[in-house]
Amino acid sequence: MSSSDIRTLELNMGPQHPSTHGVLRLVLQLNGEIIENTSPRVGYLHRGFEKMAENMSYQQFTPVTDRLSYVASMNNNLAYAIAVEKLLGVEDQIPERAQYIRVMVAELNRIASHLLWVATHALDIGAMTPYFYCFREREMIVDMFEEICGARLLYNYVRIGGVAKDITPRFMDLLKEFVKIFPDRHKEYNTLLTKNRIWLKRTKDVGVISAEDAINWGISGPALRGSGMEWDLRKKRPYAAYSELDFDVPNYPEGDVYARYLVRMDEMLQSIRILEQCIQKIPDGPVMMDDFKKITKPIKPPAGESYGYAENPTGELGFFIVSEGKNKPYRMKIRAPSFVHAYALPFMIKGSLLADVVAVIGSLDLVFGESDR
Amino acid sequence: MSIVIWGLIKFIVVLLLISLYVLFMTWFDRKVLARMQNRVGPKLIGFHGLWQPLADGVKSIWKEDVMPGKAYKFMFWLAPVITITTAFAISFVIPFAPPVKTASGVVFHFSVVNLNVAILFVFAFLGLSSYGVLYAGISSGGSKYPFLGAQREGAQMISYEIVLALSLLNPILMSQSLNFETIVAAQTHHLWYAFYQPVAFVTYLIAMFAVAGKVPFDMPEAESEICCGYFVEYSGLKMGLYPFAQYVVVLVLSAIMVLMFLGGWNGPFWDGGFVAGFIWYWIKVAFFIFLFTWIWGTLPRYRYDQLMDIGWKILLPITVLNIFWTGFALTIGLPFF
Amino acid sequence: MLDTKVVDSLKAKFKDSIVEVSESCGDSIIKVELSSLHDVLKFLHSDLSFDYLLFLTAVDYPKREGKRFDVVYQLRSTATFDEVRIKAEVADGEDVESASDIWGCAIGDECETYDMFGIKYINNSELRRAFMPDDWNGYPLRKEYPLKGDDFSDRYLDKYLPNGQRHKIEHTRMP
Repeated sequence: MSSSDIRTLELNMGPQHPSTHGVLRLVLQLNGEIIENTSPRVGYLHRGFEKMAENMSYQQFTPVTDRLSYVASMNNNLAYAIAVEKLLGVEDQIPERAQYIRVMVAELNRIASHLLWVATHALDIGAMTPYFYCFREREMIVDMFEEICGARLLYNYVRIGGVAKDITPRFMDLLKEFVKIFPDRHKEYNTLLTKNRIWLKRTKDVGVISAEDAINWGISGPALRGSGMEWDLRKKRPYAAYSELDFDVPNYPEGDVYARYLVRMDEMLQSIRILEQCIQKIPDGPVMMDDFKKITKPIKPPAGESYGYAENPTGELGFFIVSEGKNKPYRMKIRAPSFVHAYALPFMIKGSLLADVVAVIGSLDLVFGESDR
Repeated sequence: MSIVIWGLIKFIVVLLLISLYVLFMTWFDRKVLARMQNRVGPKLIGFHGLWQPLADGVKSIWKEDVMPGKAYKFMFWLAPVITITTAFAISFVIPFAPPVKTASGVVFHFSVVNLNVAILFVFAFLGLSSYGVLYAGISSGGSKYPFLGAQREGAQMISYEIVLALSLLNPILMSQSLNFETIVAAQTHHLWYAFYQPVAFVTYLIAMFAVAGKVPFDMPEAESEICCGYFVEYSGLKMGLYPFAQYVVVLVLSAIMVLMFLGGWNGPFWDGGFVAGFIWYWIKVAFFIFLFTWIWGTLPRYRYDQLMDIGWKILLPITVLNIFWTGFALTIGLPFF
Repeated sequence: MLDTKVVDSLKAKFKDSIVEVSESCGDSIIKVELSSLHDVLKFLHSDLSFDYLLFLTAVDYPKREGKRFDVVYQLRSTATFDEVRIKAEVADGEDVESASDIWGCAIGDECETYDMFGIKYINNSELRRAFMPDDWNGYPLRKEYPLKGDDFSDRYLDKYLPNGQRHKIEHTRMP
């Protein structure tokens, strides 16, 4: 057989596939089971948020940001609020208590998002049981959010100028209990996965990306820290109350799937540390700036443009807002980490096996509500 | 004449019993997994959901049977039939209880046929059973996931049946028989073969999981990679036949494990005739069936190339060396052999 | 706020092509000529260590005299955490040189900008519509594109759907 008779198998992985986490479609060129070439196709969840933003007032758009990375709605709200506040120039006037509440809900949601990530990532690699263990704790967090804002998935809680409502005493009780038991539960996931031989074999040296390449491909968040960059916007450019809180930025230099897994596992414990400090330090006072208490009062930022960002569980979520002095944004661009990560996939999985594609997709925590906007 | 009648009766009884076993094995699997995962499992239908498998079976019968337009129809039909037939065929040579000497002096065997070459028969049909999967992959009308699944199944069966056969060669050499009952009888006087052949015991255990296609070696049907692999395009009853056959293979491989390495119906104590033997035998078999579920709930899945590495680079050399060692030990007549 | 050193070295290197240096909400904005855009980006990446492309997009100003679009590049230096926004004006139908040889992540964003605004990037190996189907008509983020789609988008799915599910005439849209 001459070499021209050998053809690659074109496999259309997704958009309906158990481990593409929603609607990623990868067109894979397979040689046996080895990936020769990949082409990512996103957009199956495209809802036109950027177009919608141009036709909505600033407050109206906050619930829409919930729908970005729907597993980390609080963080999305926070990033959007930061961007608009930067545009308005009121970053320094947010009440102290609101800043602490923002940190608390953002960290809780980070834990929830990471738990969901561990659960689905393990399921992708074939371990079924961690899924249910992680959902047990995620349920506790969701209960807490239900207590403060009545919703369990899409919260619309962090608003421009503060947060929607003050937290309740019951929330604090639940939070204290959660902070107390979570480290033990964290050990359970560790026993199931971290030192598991098969888990190590499946994740070590898979989907390796060096720090330089990761920066070049725009990778951010835990995936970048998994490549050895000590890069955390909460530390580098502290927003909300992060500058007053003490925490570490876990990073591992290997740059493989396992390093990203470890980063996320460690981050959960760091989030618990932040929460413990928040419980101690949270001051009394108002939770919303007076100017923004009335939701019907239009926000009219001066003409200008701002880029506000926050460290999301998936990576750096940024909002680039152009204002022309009206009550609606003139243009809003959402910098979605999942979109960037999806386009970095071909680089990371070239030459690996089909089973590794699943592991790498899982390790990047792609959420397609965010990627497709 | 009576042999034929008895054979037919046994045939039907075994067929029914195994079907019943598979039905309640699905219930058992789900219950055990649920307990491992902080869940309740099936609960509503019957006592603790005991009739759930029947409901599932009825559902599977009534489901629409979809066939891809480009499928090779004959092969597409044939594939599950091959799988289920071969699985049942293997189970016909497995003894289900210790043999009983009747009053007239005739030995009654609790297997459909008491073959002298039972192990050869098992391997012949295990080899054939992979054709069911290969046909399913090829006949699914160019669908790519079944194709990849069939590829994986083909490679996996070839590599691990060698390991499986070579591991079983050690007890065969020691007992000089291919008949299960003789092998068990040989272990009655000896210690169990697992103590003589710990290496073969472990290699068989690993190969058992691979041949049955269960976690951590469920490559052909890795649902998160190739969406259930070879039976993606199947639906309804035809699709149900594949897990069905898999459960039968699990039972058969567990039974072979017990017969060859763990002394069959011999217990460590209480050697009291048929009843004791029956109970001992099924306790051991049930443990291995449970082990399959246990591992399923605990471990992730290996990667395809790692599976091949384990098979060819580690297990195969070890088993071959082990056979040399057994032959050497038997030839010079070591005290424990 | 950007270090003046960056602006100075840019001005020294690309004297004529820097149109405007401004600031908004603490972000530095440098507007350059389209012809030297790629060189400016390359210079920023290699000499001034702006190694991280945050995003790349466009803004549509249909009422503006002259060129219609602004292409926007938000850059960041991972060493110093400086951020700078590079802008260039692009006319409708004008091609922009791709930045994908400088930053890998430009591929995705350029696909998106092409999809949403119809700005073509040359030398981008994978330029195709990022979100919309390949045979889509119109560019959704242009200002004249209606918020709830047009007649084409109403009937787009018809060719894939069986008879009963096709677009119904009585369905009306809000103006």
